[in-house]
Amino acid sequence: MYRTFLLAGLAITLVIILIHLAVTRGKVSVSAPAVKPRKGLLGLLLCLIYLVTFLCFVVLSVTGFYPVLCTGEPLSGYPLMLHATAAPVFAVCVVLVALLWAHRSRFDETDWNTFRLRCGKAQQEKSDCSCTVFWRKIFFWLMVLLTIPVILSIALSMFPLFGTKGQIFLYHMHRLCTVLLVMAGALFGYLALVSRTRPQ
Amino acid sequence: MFRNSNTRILIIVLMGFFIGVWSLSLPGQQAPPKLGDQPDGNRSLPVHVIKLRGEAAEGEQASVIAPDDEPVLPFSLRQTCGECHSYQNISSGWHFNALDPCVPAGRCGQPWILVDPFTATQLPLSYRPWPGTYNPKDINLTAKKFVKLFGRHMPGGGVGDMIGEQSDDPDAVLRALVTGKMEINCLSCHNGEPAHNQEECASQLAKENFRWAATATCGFAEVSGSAKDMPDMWDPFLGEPPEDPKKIPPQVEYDHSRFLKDNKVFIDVRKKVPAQRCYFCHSTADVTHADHVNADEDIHMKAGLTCVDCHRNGLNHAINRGFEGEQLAHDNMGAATLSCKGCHLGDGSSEKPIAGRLGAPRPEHKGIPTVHFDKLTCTACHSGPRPSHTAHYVKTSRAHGLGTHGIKKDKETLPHIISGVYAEGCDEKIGPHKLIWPAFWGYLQEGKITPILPDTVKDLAGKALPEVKANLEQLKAGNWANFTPEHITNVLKQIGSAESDKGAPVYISGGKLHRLDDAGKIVAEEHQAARPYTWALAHDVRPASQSLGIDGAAGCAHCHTADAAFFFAQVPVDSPMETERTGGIKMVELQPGIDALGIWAFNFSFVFRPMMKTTVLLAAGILALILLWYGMRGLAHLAKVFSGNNQ
Repeated sequence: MYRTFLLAGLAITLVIILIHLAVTRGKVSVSAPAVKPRKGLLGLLLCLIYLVTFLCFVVLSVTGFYPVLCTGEPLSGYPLMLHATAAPVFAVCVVLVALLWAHRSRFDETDWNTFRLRCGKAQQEKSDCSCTVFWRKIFFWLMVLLTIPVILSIALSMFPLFGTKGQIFLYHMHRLCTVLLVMAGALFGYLALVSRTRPQ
Repeated sequence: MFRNSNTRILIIVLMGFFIGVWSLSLPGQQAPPKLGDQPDGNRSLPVHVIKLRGEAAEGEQASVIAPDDEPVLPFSLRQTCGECHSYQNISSGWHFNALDPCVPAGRCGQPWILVDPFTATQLPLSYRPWPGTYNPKDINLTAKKFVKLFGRHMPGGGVGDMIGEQSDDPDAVLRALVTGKMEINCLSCHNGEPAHNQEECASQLAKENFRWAATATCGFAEVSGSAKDMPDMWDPFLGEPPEDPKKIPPQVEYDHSRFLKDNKVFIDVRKKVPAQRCYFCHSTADVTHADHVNADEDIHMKAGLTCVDCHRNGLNHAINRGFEGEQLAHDNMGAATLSCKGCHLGDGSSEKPIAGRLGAPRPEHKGIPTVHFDKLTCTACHSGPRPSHTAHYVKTSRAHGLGTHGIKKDKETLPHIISGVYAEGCDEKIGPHKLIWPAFWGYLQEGKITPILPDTVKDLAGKALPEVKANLEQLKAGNWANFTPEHITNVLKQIGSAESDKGAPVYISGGKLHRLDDAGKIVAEEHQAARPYTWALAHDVRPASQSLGIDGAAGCAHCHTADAAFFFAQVPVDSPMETERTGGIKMVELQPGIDALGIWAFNFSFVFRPMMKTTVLLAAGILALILLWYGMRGLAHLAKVFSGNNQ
């Protein structure tokens, strides 16, 4: 069942990305103002953070999902060690990304209007740039939110707090939340790339 | 329709045919139940004031034993107990059914170990097809010889009932009439008499008094004399002494005061077998601390249980061994619920809760990832000696004759059994085992090795064996002599030249097969037969506070450090050759499902575990603060918006 859930989650993510690409191709690049990339050491540092985040994201996803999708065995051995090595690095990277993007990801009037539009209580906007940004923000906060149970479910299992039933619950929670985190993280990353809004 | 008589006859015949076919398809019929086989439900035990009965042929009524008979005969448990309890059904039980090929062998258990220090032999034997053991029948070890060697720690029956049977040797059949057979001695287990002396069985077997062995143990009879000294034509039922006055025939003297009216005797029969009876055959002792002063008894015993509270059986004596999956080996109603998991955890799929039997506490296993329960047995954390870098040598009742007179008490007495070895069992789970390195001479033919009995080795190559004088200290201690490769070579040559048609002579020891190459030089190579034989241990169970993995993070370190004994302790190689004793194998080599480098790396990573936990928890905390901060600000803004709208 988890395998099905995982495949469905990955498929939905991919479909959303493909649909968004198909629908907004060219429109975003025309209407979205260009972002001035940061130069110098700060720019390099930011690039490094994003790169490490992405790499850890990939390593964790591959090591975590490969056994489920391909072997059917629980994660163990060298993949487990790789997973456990990348995990704290990813956690730190998520904190840094959260600190970098939290301010620009806070909701404003435009987002409120977009929300009202989705609820049918406002008129159609001329461009969907705000819609893209809106969803980018949504997925950002979802990613931040989901990272917490993903971390806690594994970290708490390492303490003598939960018995066998609790361990099983934490394990399932970790697996469930990671799928949602992957979806949110992938969509946030994609939308962050395509939206390229001016920092506020 | 059935008016035609031919039709009726045909129908009757057909019915009879189908009933016959159906009854043939039924499993082997057990003997009809006797008086004592059908309990009425009363929980108290019937008082056994009964007549003792002597041996009798099939179909004959056994005579009643009286203390003043001429001659005074030993009583037969088959006839005495068999009057009310079906001997046939009882003899199908685990303690007696080793020779039955239809009985599932189940989990590998402790073998009988044939030892001979002079020929450096420690050979694991079993009638059950446990891999790594050898069937006594295949090495011409007759039932009689087997009983003389190992009957000291057997409750009789099984191979004991086979003495003289299925033998082509008419002398063996005749001797069986003189010595008798070693029937099931019900008193070995069920006698509550404090004077019951199981050690007497060993003394009597040495004298081939098989028929008298049970009587000697009962506590109200004394047996003297020796059947071994009697001629083949001596009749025990006539009791006439042989011509040689120095040879005393077996004689029984009963305590007259025990005999009541009509020659009935009170026997303190216990349905719930006292632990003392089990301990005689099932004791294990540290070679350096055999006094058990610092050893604690099994936690279940301290909690008030006895052996038979878990190791139960019905009339069929199919005793519950208690390992996981036993219910698949034989259909014992208690097998599933009386295992560690069955009692303490129950079966989650069962409609009726079965955990908690006998007050078994339910373990929480806080902080233990569930993968441990897939990879490890319960006993891995809870039983036997803790993992240690120092080899833990033990002696056992059955291997070393503990509890009998005249045994050697030296630390080095053969066989050398190493305990607390964490190895993978038949269920592919790691658990504590006892281990023995087989050492024996044999013939190799078509990849299969047939062991040679020590006496045969002495006959064929006695002069090539190490000198007794040069190895007196070791041999006195029951340890093997010091062998050199030259000794091995010479013995192999002698065996080979004496009996070249049985295959190439080989010697197994130290985990290697030794043979002669074409040039006559000794070569050592790997062979399945040389692999150590292991059998799982389950006792003594330690209290929860002494289990592995307790104490949080410190508990993880019991097994998950770079040099943890659980994986990396050296299991010494045992061999009569000093050159082979220098090395050892790592515990992880006995755990085929574990990659040595992988587990080392995994264990090493635990150094960084506290750091990792701190980092991720801090990260989660910061993320929560970010969410809280912006969440609060968002809520405040929303509140402003809504209040502004209302105005």
